[in-house]
Parts: sequence; C-alpha cells; structure tokens
Amino acid sequence: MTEGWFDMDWLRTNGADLLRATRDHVLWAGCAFVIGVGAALVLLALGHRWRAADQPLRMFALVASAVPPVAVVAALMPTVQSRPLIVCAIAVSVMALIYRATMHGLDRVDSEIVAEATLLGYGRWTRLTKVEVPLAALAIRSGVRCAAVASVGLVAVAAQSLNGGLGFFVRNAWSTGPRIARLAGLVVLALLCLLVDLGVRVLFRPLGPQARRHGSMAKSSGD
Amino acid sequence: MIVFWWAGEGCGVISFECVSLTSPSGARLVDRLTLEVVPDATTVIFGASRATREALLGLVMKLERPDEGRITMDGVDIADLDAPKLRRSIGWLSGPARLMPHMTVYDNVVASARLGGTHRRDAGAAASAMLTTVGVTRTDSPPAELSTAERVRVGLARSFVGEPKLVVLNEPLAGLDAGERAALRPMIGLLREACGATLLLATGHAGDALALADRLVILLEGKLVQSGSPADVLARPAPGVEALFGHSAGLRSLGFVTIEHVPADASTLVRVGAPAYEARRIARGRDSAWLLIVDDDGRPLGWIDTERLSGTGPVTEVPLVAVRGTVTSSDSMERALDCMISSPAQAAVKLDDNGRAEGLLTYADLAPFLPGDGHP
Repeated sequence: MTEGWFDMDWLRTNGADLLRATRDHVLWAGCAFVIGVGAALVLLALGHRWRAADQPLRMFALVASAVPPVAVVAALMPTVQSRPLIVCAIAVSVMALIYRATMHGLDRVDSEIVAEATLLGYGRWTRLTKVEVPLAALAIRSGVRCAAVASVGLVAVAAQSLNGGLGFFVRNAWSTGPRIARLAGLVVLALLCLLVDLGVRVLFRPLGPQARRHGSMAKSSGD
Repeated sequence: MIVFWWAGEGCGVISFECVSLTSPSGARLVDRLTLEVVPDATTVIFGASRATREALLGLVMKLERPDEGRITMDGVDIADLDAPKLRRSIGWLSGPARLMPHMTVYDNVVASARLGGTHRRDAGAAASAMLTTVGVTRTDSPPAELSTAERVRVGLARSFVGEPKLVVLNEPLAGLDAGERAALRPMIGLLREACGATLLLATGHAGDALALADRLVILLEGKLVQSGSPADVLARPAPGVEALFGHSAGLRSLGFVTIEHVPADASTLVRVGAPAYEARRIARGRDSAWLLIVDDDGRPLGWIDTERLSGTGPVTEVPLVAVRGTVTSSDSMERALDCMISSPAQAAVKLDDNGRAEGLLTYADLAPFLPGDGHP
C-alpha cells in the first residue's frame, strides 16, 4: 500500500458512502438510545410506584449492566442477523446504565431534605420531579452521557450484524480500503461520540442551574 | 374514607382526644393526651423528650398514626384527611431550617406559597413581601451561602407565606446562639400576629418556651402535667416542672412582672448645667456616688461619678459614662434588674413614653413589688 493518510480525491469520490454510513449509524444508535431511555423511565416509574418492584428491578439492572454490553452483542452476532434485535440488545444496555445511575443519584439525595419536602406537602410525584430529580441531576446526567456514548460505540461494534453504519465502513476499509477510508471512518465516529456527549450536557443544563453555579447539588447528590 | 376537599379553611384548631402513641421499641411517647390548641395564639409544647415532641408534631402532620384516640382539626378527624393536602395547608418549619438546596432563597419561599395554594401570579409578590418582613436581602442566593440565622429567617418566611391558618414549628431556633435567639423570638410573634395563625411550637429550650408561649403545655414522660400562661406556670409549677427551668422558675417569673407600678426616684436626676456642689449634695443623700445627668429636656445623657467632681463649675467638667440600658413602664422586672446590674450606679433609668427620664430604680425600690407570698 503506497497511498497516504490523506486523499482529497478519495473523499470526493466516497464522501456520499461515508455520509450514508454516518446517517445509518446515528439512526440505529438514536433508536437504541431512545428505546433504552423509554424503558428506563418505565422501570423507574414502576420502581417508584410499587416499592416491592424496586429491589427486583435493581437486580435486573445490575445484571444487565454487569454483563459487558459488547459481549452480549458479540455473543448474538454469529447467530442473529436481525437489526431490530441488535438495536434492542443495545437498548437494554442503555436502559441498565441509565437506571442504575438514576437510582444511585436518587439514593444519595439527603433523606432529611426528602423528609422536609414531604412535610411541606409535596406529593410523591411532585417530590420526585421537583426535589429528588433536580438534586440527583448530576448523577443522572453522568449515566445518560455514558449510555448515549455507549450506544454510539455499540452500534460500531455490532457492525457485522447491522451490516451498515460507521463500524461496518471502518471494518471494510481495514481489510480492503485505503488508509484514508479507515481514518475518515474513525474520525467521524469519534466526532459523533463527542457531539452526543455535548448534546446530553446541553440537554441537562436547565435541570440544575443553581447546582452548577454554586456547587450545592454536588454536596447533596454526592456526585 | 379520605376527605379530599379539605383545604385548611377554619381557625386551625387542633384537638387531641385521649391520644396515645408508642414507639417501635415500645416506649410510650404520648400517653392519653387530651389537649385543645388555642386558636389565634401560640401554644408551646415543652418539657417532653425530643422524641415525644417530634412524635406529637408527627401526629399533627400525619407522619404518625395514634395507637388510640383521635386528632381533629377544625372538628375534622385528620385520619380522614389526605396527608399531602393537610400538610400543604400547614406552615411547617423544623430547625435548623432545611431549605431546598437546589433552589434559591426566593424560589424556596415561592414554592411554599404555591404549595399552600397561592396563585402563581401572586406567589412571587407574597414571597418577596415575606422575605422583606423577615429581613432577608440575599434572595437570589442558594441556601448553602446563608448563615444559620438567615436560614431560620427564610424558614420562617416559608412557613408563614400564604397565611396558613396553622403553623407548626419544631425547634425553630435550634442551632442559634443566645443573641440570635433573642433577635428572632419577637419576629415569630409578629409573623403569627400578622397572619392571624394558630401556632403550635415544640421546643426543649426554656428561654424560647417562656418568651414565645401564650400557652405553655408541659409534658413529662408523654403525659400532660401542666398547661397555662408562662407566668402562671412559673408562679405555681407542678411537681417536677420547676426542674425543667433549671430550678430558677422564681427568677424567670420576673420576666412576666412589669415595673408599671414601681415608682422611680426623680430626685437623683441632675440637669446638665447644674453646678458640681449641687450634684455632690444630692449624692450625699444616696448610698451611691453616681448620679444621672439629663439634658434640659429631661433625656438621659450619662452617669457621673460625683467623687471626681472637685470644683464649683458645671457637672460636665468630668466625662460622662454612657447609659447602657433604660426601662419603661411596660418592661419587666427582669429587664430592670439587668439594667441595674450593668449600671455603675446600680440603678435602672426609667423613661416615660416620650423618652424623658422619670427617675432611677434601685433594688430597694423593686423589693416590695417582687412576686411571691405577701407581695403583689
């Protein structure tokens, strides 16, 4: 191989393929993330509504996040070629990460503050949304950031089964394509992860302006 | 049946009817308590252990269920009331004030006003007015930046905003030093009067209990042993109650006796332009060499030591010692004694309603008026 790491001609010729791979990657990662967030919210609501369900749900989330998501996907790859199933497997990992981070954050909210909110007349849901979640926002944000970036990474890892996306693009380039193809695929993947991380940070900004400005939330949530 | 419509209308009258509560460990926290909290006044629960006080307030706030008996609010059994709705209709503060750490001071009070049912557009104005009343200016600060005293002030604003009919305070001045307590006690009374609320307060601090109570309710081992005005309780303490006041119930009772009828000795006042020999003549008629110098209008200027006056010039030839405290007819004997002790003349300066000196009060002047058998 005599070609260099940078080749404008290649970019001009294959730019459309790279864009298509990026679009597919964002779509599948986005689907897995949205499904995972939705499932996590449902589990959180169940755990909050029925105390009896709380411990089993925690155990499930622990197991789901303890089994490395990459291993789950890799184990499924040889036999499973269904894109929806792979996306759902990634969503389970996303859900487990968000669920555990949220429960961890909520558990670390000062119990005296929660008791005070109860005495002030906050109902269970109002207390959760107006007091507990804002106080646990940093921990929840950490979990969501981790899950969002993980979903992008896992879509790349599951390239074989998904038969598309940036993972597939890089894998093909590694075996047959020029160096610029590998480099371009990896750079776009890294930029995607950074953008997702930044997006989650921006998304969570309204949840705890006081805490960020004054650092009081860190004290409360212990994050 | 849960009553959802109850929204805190009425006077906020709470009645305990033969209420008992036992802790999970089996200790009797409240023992067959029958009590009616006086509306539009301050009732202070004192004497009981911290656990009993908290259990009692927990019963009112529906955190606990009585083992027997019932608690009514404006005639409605609180067992039939929706707990969050009941709590929203009650102003609550537990010291040291625990404010929501993720909200600003202003937002804490607004949130409480909204919970109490104040309309969104009025909540901001109500919160601002209440914060001004309690003297908090840093309304955009998070609670973590406030001192303990400021947090208590904000906690009080949060309790009284929205003018609840019932306010429940648990050790509201906990964590404050003596000066801060003294400064905040009158504020609690003023806020209660301004809101026309019924105030139920629990404290283990004798000074707070006596200063704040219109009615003192004393519990020992979960049982009601005495109730009445602080002056009545101090004058005739039930067995075991005197110990709660550090065996100084007699001294503390002086705080509830005014000096209205104690005559002041006006002959010991010296005008600022008077000659020194005149001051020395007056001093010879007293046990003390110290006299009070007043201006032409009769207002106190300071103390003078006549032993330092030598010439025949005006009394102001020697420097005056500042008057550190004065009393009026409405002040207590405790206050008068405090002024006497801190004065070089061992006398308190009694002022009239216009701030002019009526005369001096000494220990001998107070003696015939001290409370006790054979005295007024």
